Amino acid sequence: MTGDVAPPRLAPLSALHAARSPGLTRDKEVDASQEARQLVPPALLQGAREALQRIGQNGHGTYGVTSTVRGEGRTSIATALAIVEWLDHERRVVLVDLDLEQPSLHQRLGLREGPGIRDLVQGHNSVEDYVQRIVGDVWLLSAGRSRDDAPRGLNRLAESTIMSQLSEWADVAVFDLPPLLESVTGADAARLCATPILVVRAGVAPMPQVKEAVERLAAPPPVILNGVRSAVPRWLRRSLGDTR
Amino acid sequence: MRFFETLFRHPLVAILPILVCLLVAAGYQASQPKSYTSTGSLYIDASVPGNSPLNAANQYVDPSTLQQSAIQELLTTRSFAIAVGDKGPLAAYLASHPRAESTGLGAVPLLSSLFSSSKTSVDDQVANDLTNMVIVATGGPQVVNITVTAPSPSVAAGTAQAVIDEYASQTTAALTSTDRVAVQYYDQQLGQAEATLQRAQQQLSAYLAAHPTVPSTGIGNATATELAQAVTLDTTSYQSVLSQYQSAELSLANVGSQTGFQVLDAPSASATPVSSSKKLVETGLAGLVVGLLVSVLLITALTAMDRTSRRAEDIRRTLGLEVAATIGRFPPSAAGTRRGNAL
Repeated sequence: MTGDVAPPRLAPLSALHAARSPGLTRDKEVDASQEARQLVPPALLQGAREALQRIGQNGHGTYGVTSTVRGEGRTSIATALAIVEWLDHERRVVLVDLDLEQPSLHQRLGLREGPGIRDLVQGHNSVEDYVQRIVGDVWLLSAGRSRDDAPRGLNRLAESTIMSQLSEWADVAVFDLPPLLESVTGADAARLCATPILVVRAGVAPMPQVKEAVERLAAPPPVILNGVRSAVPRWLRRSLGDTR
Repeated sequence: MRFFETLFRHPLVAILPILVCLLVAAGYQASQPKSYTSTGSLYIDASVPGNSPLNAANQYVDPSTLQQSAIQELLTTRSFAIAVGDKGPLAAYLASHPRAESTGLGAVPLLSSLFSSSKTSVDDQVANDLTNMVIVATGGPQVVNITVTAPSPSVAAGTAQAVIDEYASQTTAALTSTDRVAVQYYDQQLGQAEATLQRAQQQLSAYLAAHPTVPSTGIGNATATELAQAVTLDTTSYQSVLSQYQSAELSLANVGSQTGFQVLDAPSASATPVSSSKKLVETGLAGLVVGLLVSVLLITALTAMDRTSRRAEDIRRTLGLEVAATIGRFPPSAAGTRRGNAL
């Protein structure tokens, strides 16, 4: 079902990271802003912007982006949400890879695998020492190198002060969560976030599965419908009364 | 709308069945043997009592329509079909060309073994095929055309002639039977009238012999007058029955000329085969319709099987959730170009 899902491409970042210093001058900020816009396709940024307006959180917040199955665009949308929060509101955003079973965010962003959450939960370290800059004031807390089992890692995270550290250090935390039905930690990870967002990719997960995934969440989540494209010609859609 | 979405998402599913059906139709048509037609025309004589609309239940029916119906009815009977086959060249042709009668899928070379039944007798083949080979149509109020389509010109002409001959034969047999019954009936009636007349004549003769003074006309004698009148009455009756008897005998003798129709145009063998373009178009249209049906069924099945969400309405209606944003599909190259790092 997910074989036809082609993830969008990101602009290169490795060179950018090597030269980047913690403090950004005005010129560098403009460059970073342009760089951020090139990271994610405009349609994705626009969708993320629209979703954030609808969801309507101001200031500090934790968004958890989840889905029913893999391949629905969680990581792309989580990245887009993080970038929009920084671009539009100049908030410090930390993007957290909570998919401890199959972490991929660092690879996609061209960053190091770790240290990350798995390493962080094993000691009493500061979050600030583990984050990697993506672009501008958008930071990544990767899943980490350690290969402990995911449920134990998640339990340690829930019991640790990392969540509160994240809230203090960043304005907004966006969690790239594991899928609800394809991961044993999907539902538990979603409960760590104030606002879980369900990504549904058109034509991927059957509706009964999506319904089952929703039932695993504490409250009905807002949905971002991803990958929508009508194959019907516009003239036919118009004649059938579909004006969109 | 979901149907059209499926249709445009899987155009091959929609197009392939149509193409396959069209190809099968074209192959089927190409595998059909050449066919030839022969037509015979009959002129229906409305003056013949059996053909008169006055005798029909519906007086507005043309004589030709009556005859057309009669021929079509007969064609559906096995005995008539077999008689036509035997009278004409059809039975012999089918016996010498075991697969010539194959039509439909049985005519396709690779499928012939599946669809042709070798155990079918020639009579059965004739009975089965003749109805499809013969078209009976009216050419006007008094003209009936009988057209036979067959695999060879001679078989077409011979079978058309055989249909006409057998129909004439059947009509003659029916008329002969009716006239025979009439002759028998009037013969019996004539005998009775003759006996009655003889009795009356004998009584009158006996009375006149016993009373010589009475004139032979019986005038002046009441009894003689009564007997003479009886003789006159019986004579009239006898003559009437005799006339009817003679008429019935005449009708029986001339039954062959009272079939009610004449052959205007005898069937002739045409060397030009029937044009296949019309059949090709018809078969092609049939293939197109079948293909379209299959396509519609497949697309409907695919639509019913697709239980994923495609539109925001699906989410709202099925799950009752708020859709915060809808993001369209974009090509992978829509993002930055400096590195092909997939997100």
